[in-house]
Amino acid sequence: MRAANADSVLAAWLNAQTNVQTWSASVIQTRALKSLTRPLTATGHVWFAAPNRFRWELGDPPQTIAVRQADQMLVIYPKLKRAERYPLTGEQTGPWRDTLALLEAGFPCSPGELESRFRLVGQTTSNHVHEVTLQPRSASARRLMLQIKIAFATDDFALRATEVQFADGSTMRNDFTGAVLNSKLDEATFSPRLEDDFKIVEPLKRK
Amino acid sequence: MKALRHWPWLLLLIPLAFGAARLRFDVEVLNLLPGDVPAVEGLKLYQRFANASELIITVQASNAENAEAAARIIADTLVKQTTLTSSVVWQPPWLEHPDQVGEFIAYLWLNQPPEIFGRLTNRLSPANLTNVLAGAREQLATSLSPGEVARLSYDPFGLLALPEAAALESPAFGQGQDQFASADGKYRIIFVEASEDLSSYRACISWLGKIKFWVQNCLSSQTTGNDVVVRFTGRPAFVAEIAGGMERDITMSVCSTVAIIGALFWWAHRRWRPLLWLLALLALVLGSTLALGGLLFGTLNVVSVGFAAILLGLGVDYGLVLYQESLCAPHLSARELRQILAPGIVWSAVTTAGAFLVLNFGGLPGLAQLGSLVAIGVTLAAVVMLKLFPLLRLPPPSLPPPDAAEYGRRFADRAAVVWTATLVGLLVLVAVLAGGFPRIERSADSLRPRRSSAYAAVEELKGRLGRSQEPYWLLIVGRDEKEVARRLEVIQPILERAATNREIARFTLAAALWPRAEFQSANRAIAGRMASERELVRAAARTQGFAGNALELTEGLLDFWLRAAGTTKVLWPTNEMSRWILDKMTARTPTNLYFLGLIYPPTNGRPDSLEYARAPLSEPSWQAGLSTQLPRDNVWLAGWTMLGSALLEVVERDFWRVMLPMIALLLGSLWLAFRRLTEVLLSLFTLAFALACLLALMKLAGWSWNLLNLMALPLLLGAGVDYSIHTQLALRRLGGDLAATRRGVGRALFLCAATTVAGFGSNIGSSNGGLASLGQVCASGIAFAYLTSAFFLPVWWKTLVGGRRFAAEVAQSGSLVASRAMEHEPRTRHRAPLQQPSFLYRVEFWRLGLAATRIFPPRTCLHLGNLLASLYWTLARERREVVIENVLTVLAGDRLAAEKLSRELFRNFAAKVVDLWRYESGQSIDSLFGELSGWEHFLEARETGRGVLLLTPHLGNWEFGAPLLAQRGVALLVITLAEPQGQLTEMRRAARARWGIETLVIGRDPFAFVEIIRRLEAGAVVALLMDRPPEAGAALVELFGRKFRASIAAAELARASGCALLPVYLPRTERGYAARILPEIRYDRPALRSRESRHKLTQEIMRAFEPAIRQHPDQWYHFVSIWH
Repeated sequence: MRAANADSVLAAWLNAQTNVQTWSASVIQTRALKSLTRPLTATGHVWFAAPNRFRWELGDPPQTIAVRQADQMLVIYPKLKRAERYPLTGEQTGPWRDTLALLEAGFPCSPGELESRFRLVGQTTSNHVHEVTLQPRSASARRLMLQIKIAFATDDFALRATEVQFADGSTMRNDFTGAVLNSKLDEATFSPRLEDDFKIVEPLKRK
Repeated sequence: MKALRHWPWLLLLIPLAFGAARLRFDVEVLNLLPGDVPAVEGLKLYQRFANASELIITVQASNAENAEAAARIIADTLVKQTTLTSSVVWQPPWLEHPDQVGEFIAYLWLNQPPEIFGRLTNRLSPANLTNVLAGAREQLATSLSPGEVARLSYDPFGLLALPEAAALESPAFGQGQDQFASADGKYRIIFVEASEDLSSYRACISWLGKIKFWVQNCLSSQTTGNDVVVRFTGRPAFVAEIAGGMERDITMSVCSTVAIIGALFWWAHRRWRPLLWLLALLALVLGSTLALGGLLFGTLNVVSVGFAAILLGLGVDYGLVLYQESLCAPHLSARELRQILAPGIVWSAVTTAGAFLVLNFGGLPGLAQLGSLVAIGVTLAAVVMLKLFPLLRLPPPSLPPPDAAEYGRRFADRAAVVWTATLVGLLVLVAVLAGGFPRIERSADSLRPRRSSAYAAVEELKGRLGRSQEPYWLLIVGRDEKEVARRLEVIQPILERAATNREIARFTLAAALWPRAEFQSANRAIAGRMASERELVRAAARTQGFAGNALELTEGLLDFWLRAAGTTKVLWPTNEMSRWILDKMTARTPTNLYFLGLIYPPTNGRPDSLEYARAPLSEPSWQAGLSTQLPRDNVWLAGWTMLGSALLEVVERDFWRVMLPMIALLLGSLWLAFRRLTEVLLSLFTLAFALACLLALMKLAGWSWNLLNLMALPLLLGAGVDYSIHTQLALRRLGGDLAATRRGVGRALFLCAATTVAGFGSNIGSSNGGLASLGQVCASGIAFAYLTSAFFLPVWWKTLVGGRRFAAEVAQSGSLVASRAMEHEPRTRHRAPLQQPSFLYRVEFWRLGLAATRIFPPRTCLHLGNLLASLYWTLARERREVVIENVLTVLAGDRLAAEKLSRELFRNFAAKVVDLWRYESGQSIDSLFGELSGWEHFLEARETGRGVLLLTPHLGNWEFGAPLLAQRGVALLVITLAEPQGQLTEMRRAARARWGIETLVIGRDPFAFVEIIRRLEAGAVVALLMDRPPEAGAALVELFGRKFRASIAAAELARASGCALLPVYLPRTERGYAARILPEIRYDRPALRSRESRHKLTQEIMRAFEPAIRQHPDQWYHFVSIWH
């Protein structure tokens, strides 16, 4: 019964994602790295627009901004006045795919897409928060991320947290607060304007 | 005793055994090639790099998980087999051994210019540590790149952030899976290095077998899925494959050729014993050639082992020709067979061996060795077949006689067809070849094995890992690190310029990975100081919240710098990960250092494109352009793709060095064989026609010329010309009788051609592409040469050279055997027969002979005489023919027997002359006498009180009758004609006088007979030769049914003196000279008044000698024509 309940909760959440057009929230990111004796914490904000656009900002002022557009992803380092552009074409593999996977974790996706990319490892419910543990099906993805946990509220299916466990045992947890669902987002959110003194590089381009 | 005479041949076994013990096989393809070609030198240098010697195992599965699991299991299994493997790498080694990255990074930093190295050391200075670490923490907190987070976690000081040049050329630590797996992860590769020496091909085969066993074993015991496909490639796999192919090829080609030879022989002759004997001799030839190959070369390469089948196909020809001739002329002894066929076989062996020997000028050592082996084998085959094959004697089958009546009609019908076919054929050939000749393949694919799973695995690897464009290798050599570094500095800007100008697509020259001695020297002190301050680094890291494991990379770097500070030598990293990286592009030997760069050719008009393959060599290529810019010394641009063009240049340059001697040899052989311009031109036209057919076939079938099969051209000239030679000589011999030619030599030529085609053709199945194409072209060319010689040439010959004259003479002589004389002596039948003695019968030579018998022992003189007689018989054709003609009647027209007997006659005459010289030089000849029979007839005749006229023919040693009588106290008067020289006459008279024998020389003086009559009336004993009288004293009698001039002097003397007539002859027997006195010939003296009676008496006397002459025809010495 419990398993059946958990699956139905998950199914319900996935179903609820289809109604998400936009979503934004503040985020507190905690990184517990094996190479550090104490975890690192950063604050930031995240915006999402269906079907797959997002914007992450970490740090105050933002140290890193990642924007996914329809055909490319930009990673901007305001302090360094540098931006990296990654075209979203073809079957290229590489670190930037890992970055994308990390940033997309927990965002709305269809049941089919979730099923194709992840294997369900476990589910728990506690204090009206349902936590799903997923393992990437791709061996290359698993090389970086052993598993991903997604936590959402069982009443309104709002995304509460995501946690990525890395291959060396380090973790990166995002706790979301002040989430706003389906509000009108400024298009400029996903089309950042870079100043003229920014250096734009395309790391995937062969020399 | 007979066997002991052949003991010197057994001494040959010693070098053969030595050669067989030395024999080795070499499967290294590069050793087939000329070592002085830069492309080959470069490829040989490339073998020093790890890439060239590693085994690569490819693993393919239906999904990435299975592929990774299978690769991991295989790697784990093989790593444990330490006796087999020294290194097994299935993923980037920096991921497998992250703790080893520090040394490599330290090495890269140490090779930086001091100003750049200084920037790092400033970053690590105690005053700066806190800032650096704080910045790292901030990045760790805000970076969205998991890779960056992972890197900074363990590299908080940013040591991996190398200067741009070094960063580009060094591996991207944290990445690199694309070098080991396809994009979808379903295809992976594993690099394996052997722990044992794999320099020999047998070691490769054995080692690879063990590796395959372990791989199969570990996969079968796992549940990773049955869809895993494993393949093997890399040098050990290539070597094992080529070696295995070589062993299979030689076995298959030899076995198939032997089977075809056996089948053809059986089809033609249906006899086991000669077939088995033939095969046994072929085995002897093949084994001896292999042994000689081992003696001369030591090591045989993968192409030259193809010699075996070719040799069988060529060598068997000599045996077939000998056998066919023995069937046609069954009465010939082994010696006679050899005599008749030796010239043809020897010339054939000379041209064939010569053709193969010219391959030594072709520029390819591999082919040169093949050519030398075949030349040795063909020569051996000619000797062995000539010497040993005729020893097997079998009763022959009968051959149907030729039908002379059919000649004219068949020829007329056939001629029209053949000439029409000739013209049509020429038109077709022109039409086909007008569009161009078969193209020349410029690649080196002909050197590669065909149907190779290792090569297929390489192609799959290139496709799956996105490396479809094969780079060229830039190899830089130096005696030390500085020399190589200097050359790199010169080459780098050249390549950059070439890439900018699009002369090349791009290049990889990881110069940053090369140790820079001067920079290491400059940075050493600072590096040592940094290493000594590592406690400060640790403390700062602890303060900033970094755990101990965050400094593993840093500790490794400082350890290397500490080591660097403690030495003045150039420092290379030593751990497994570093070696794996550096071995891909560097190599070190005790004497030299090597660096490997990669150059990618331009994408337009790439050298491996079809357009370039068709372009003439004179068109400038990007390689040529780049080569002129690069330093000439110790820098090579190499690659398998350019090997083909480079070698083709060598082959084309040397082509005329090969062809010209071959053409000269061909023309010389044809002239010596025919001595007639028409027939020489016919042979050349036959060859040209066959060659044109070959070119047309190649064009239509899409075959191309390549490095190896270009050498078929001189081979075809040498081997293909034989058929036209044999055909035309047979036509001459048989008087232009096409049917007889076809029946006789046609079958033998068919067998010869078929076996040669089989020998070459058996290499079509070879695993080596070049050898297969050589076999294909040669087999086709030989087939065309035979077909043209067999079906077209006879008609061409008959039309242009003319068979009518020959056909009439054959019809007249009525036998094939008689017509053989046409070949050897076409003009002797039309010359006047010899009537004068040999020019050697002179006083000077007689004196020389007398002196020789005084100096040398009797046996020596006999042997010498034997030798000189044989030589004279061989060289004095006309005299020989006279003798043959003389004895032919005695032998009932058996020409072959007469030829055989004539040689014996010459030898016996030499022995007789030697004995005569001994006698005339005053030496004792008592030991030369044997039995005496009929002495009672002599005594009976003496008792009558009459004179005795001893009558003797030129049989045996008639001169010895005088000393025989002298021994018995009988004085003899010898009647002779004058010798050719007066001095000789006197010399011989004096020699007889020494024995108490009187000589009376008769000639034109008619009164000489008066003296003889007076002596006979007084009861003297007189000796008279009956045959070969002077013209005036000759009577025409019948001897052996033929008109013969005998001396009528005997009958005249009988009428005049009433003397007794006693026939006498002294033939040489095994027990010495036997004197045979026949019963007195009685006559009616008064009746002798009529000339007719005297003629009858002369006839009776000669008839009395017939049995003796018939018994000893080889001692009936007439060297001028005796028949009327």
